[in-house]
Amino acid sequence: MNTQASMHTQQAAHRVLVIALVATGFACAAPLTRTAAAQDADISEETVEYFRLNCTSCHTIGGGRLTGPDLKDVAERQSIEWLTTFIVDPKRVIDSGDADAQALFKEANGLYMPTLPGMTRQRAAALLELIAYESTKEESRFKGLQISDRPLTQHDIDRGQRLFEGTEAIASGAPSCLGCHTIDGTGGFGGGRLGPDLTDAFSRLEGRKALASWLAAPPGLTMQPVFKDRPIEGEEVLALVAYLKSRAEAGPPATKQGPLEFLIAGIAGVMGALVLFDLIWRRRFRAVRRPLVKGTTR
Amino acid sequence: MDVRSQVSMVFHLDKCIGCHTCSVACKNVWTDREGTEYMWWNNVETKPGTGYPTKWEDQESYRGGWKTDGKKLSLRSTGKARIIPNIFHNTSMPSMDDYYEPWTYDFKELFNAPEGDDQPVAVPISKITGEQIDVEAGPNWDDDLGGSQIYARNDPNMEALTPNQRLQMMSIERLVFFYLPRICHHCLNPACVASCPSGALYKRGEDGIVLINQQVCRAWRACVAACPYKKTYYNWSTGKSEKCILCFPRLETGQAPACFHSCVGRIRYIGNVLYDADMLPEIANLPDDELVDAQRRMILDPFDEHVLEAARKNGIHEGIIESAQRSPVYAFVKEFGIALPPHIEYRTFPMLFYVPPLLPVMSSKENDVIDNDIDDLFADIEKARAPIQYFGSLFGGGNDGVVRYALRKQWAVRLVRRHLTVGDVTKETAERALAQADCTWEQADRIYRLTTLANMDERCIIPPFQREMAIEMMEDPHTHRSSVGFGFRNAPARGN
Amino acid sequence: MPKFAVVERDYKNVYEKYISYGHLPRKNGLGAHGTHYDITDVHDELVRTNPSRTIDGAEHLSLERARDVANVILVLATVTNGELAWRSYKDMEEKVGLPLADLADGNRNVRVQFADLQAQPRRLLNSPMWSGLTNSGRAYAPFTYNRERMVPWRTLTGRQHLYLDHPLYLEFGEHVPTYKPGPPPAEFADLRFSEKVGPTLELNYLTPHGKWHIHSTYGENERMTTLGRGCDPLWMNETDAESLDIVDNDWVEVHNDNGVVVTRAVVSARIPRGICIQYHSPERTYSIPKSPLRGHKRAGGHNSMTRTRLKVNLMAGGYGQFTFHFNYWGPTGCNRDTQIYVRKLPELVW
Repeated sequence: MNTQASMHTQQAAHRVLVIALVATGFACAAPLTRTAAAQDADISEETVEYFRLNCTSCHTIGGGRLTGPDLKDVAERQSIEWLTTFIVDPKRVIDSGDADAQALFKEANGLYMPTLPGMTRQRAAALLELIAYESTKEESRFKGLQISDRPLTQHDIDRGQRLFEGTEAIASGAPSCLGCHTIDGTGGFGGGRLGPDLTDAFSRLEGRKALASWLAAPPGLTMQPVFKDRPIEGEEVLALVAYLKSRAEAGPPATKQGPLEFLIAGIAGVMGALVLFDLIWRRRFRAVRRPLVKGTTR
Repeated sequence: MDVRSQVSMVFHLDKCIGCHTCSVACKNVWTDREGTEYMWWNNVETKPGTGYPTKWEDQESYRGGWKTDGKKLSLRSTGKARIIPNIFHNTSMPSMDDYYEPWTYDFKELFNAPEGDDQPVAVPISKITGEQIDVEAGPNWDDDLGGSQIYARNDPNMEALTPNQRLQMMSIERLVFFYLPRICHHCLNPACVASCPSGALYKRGEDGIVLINQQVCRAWRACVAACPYKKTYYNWSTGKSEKCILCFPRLETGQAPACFHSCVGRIRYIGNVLYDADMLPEIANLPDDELVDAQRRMILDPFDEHVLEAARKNGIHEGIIESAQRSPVYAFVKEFGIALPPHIEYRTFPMLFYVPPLLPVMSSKENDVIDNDIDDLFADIEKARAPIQYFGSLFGGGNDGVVRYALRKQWAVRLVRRHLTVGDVTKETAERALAQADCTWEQADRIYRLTTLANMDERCIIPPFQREMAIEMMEDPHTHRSSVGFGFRNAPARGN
Repeated sequence: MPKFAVVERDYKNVYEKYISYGHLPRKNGLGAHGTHYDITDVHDELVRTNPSRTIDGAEHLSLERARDVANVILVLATVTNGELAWRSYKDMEEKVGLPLADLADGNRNVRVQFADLQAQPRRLLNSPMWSGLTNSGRAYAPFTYNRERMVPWRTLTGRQHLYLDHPLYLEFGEHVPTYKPGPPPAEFADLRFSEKVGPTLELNYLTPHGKWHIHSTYGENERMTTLGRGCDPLWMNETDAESLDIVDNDWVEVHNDNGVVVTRAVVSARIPRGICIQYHSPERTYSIPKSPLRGHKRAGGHNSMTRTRLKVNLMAGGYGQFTFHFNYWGPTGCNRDTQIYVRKLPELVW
């Protein structure tokens, strides 16, 4: 019986089919868009902050090489599995003799990527997701520090020295470098011994951009807590770069001062203090009995 | 008039035989513990001599006591401001060498020495290090003028003598020495109390005994430097300082202090006196040679109604007043005027008084009779072996007059007794002597009895302490002999 | 004919007898200084109550342990047994014809034993054996018994003597206590063989009693040595010491024919020139180094310099108080001074 009722039913079924198809289409498309949206949602602020604090000192995403390679589209060059393992313990992978790892190592002039604080496989995975996401952008927010290319002047070098030695304070209130680091030719007794000697820092970190990025967000267990809330910024970075560059190029100084002079100065200081105390308390009690006996008998 | 009662002492130096029973008694009872080896709360010195610690009277070196600019007193050794840079090392503190390094002997060697061809011997060993020691100092090193060239000749009181007098004091057949027993004087203006930065030192209100609170004491040792008599001592074991406590556990049970009780020569007198505390600031800045008389004025007549009224108003118990009326110390110091404080010029106003010794005097006799016609009956005192100036330095604050008065009165009593018992002094001579010495027959008799015949009950008049009302009854002092005598529940120790 | 006494010896019981109290006192009574008292009942009671020993069937008081010895002494002595004191006074009453027993009246039932003394020192009781009366807390003063109770002194005349008319004393010129100068140094004859080694001085060496020590008792403990010089020093005159380059507390070596002493010097103005003093009488147990002059053997003590010299007068007899009595009157080694050489000790060896 084909009447109008059956035609309605046929139209309804057709409509349902279209709706079903569209819905399916949406359903198929949804994962794609949901993925994109989910990436925006899934990548936590914490992961972003982590990347900023720990990775940007050596890597950019789409900003070129610094100390380490540009991470844009890194997932296309290596497997996620390989990358995760590497991030979790880079030294082990390099030392294991892995060919790719070794190649990276040579490229970085023998600098190991440090094992990062709080690194786990889950975190590595999250970071890789972030990298992948940022790689899709035209201009990633981690394209690297925009540092000026202008030539570095003597004024920069002088300012850099002042900042290094602490004669001029870093604007954010960060401690001056001399407190923990030393550079050949700095001061009478050199600077601090806590951190490494920075005479060759410019050449080791391969130049202006790399060094500047490093200075902008010093990584590592020791440096990070110091500068996390008090970063070195802008022109200060440039000045320090200029100073470090000048020191790297200058070579070792003519004379080297060190521990012996410190010891002598220390002894002289102590003697001075003792003489001062002897004067202040010159009327103090000295022995009575022994001098009496000695003075009277011999 | 702020009337207070203070337990005070008199030592009669003509009676002291230098037996040191007092020293040993005190040592056995109180300072026989670890940390107290070098302490002699009671010590006896030979004068002329330098005493213990060596040459303690030299306040230029030891810087004890007070000094005045005429208006205000200040401590020689420290002050509220000065204590701060000196808190961890007091620059006026004597070292152990100035006291002495305590030693004993390796008696074990006598038993444990291996078989040999010679007799073993116990060598002297230090109690500090345990090593063999070369003994060079002790608490009584210059006893009986031993080492007189070094010690007696450098007695600070010798400075008051002419070179000739000094020479005579050291010449055979002219020389003289006497003994000076010393304990804490429980002063009215104690430098030790004033100097303590912690406030651990205090003077008891009811009897004037000065004590160191073993809980509060932090061993700054400002008191060791500040006391001009050097009668506070640091205990290296408990990390607290200690001093003579006038055997207050004994006093509170009606017994004389150990050194008083054990005195063989019966030289010690103890009794309370009433004094006017208001006078203290007035007299504290007087010149040195006026201080002895000033301190005497501060001591009040316990029979005077005004005094008694003020005393009762201050809450002084009748029993204490009655003791003051029987006090032998009041008699010697105020009534007879023959007992004098040591080195009053330190301005701490010690409440221990000495009767200066007559010592061997040259006697003048003619035809077996002390001549009536001799103008100066007291010429013999002026020719005494120990010059009056020596005693003036030791007991007069430079005032020879008070010493002369004390010696003349004693001499007058001697003449009176000779008149009565031997008969080679006439009554007229005796009366003349009494008049010139500001004395009467009655007083001479009282002096004679109190000096010669008094037994323990008359020499030691201990006021009632009513301790059973104040605090719970202490146990018998005998049971605490040689234990830490203070802090039964909470013994003194560093950090306490 | 001298008086002979027969004494029995039982050699197989020597040790037993050594630690037992014999029976003779029980038989004869006890006494000294002319006193006498019977102890039979007290002795027998003591044998019952205190440790005793049996030798050949006879019971004796035991003297084996120190405590037992002390108790025997205390119970049998008049100064600690009031009944015996009374008994002894009664006996003395017969001899002097005066009432005396009242002196013991209040104490008749007092018995002091060793345990009592351990708890607390006790005062001695009145007894005719000692001449000081100590009733009612009175301090002991000698001869108060003789003077106040008119008991004669135990001399020829019954009085105290200043003058001794014994022929021997008269001959020596010692019948009254007048000054006699000391003999010339050579007469001591103690430096016949000694030689001066290095700068040396000859001095008269005196050994009076020490200020605090009754011989060695009370002197050698930590208290008394700390209150002194920590040794037994040699007191010297300042000028004499200076001539030998000796200062106070230096070590010195003292010697003569009899012995050697090594000790420290106390240099004092109170010692006359030509004299030195070493107080007697300590033991040689502490602070004595070796003597270089005697082959580095341990040096001696104050007794090493002096020797016993008999005094003839002390052998006099037949005159009341000059009758020989063991431990009381007779010749003793009485001279305590002599001549010595002293020098600064060249090397100190312990």
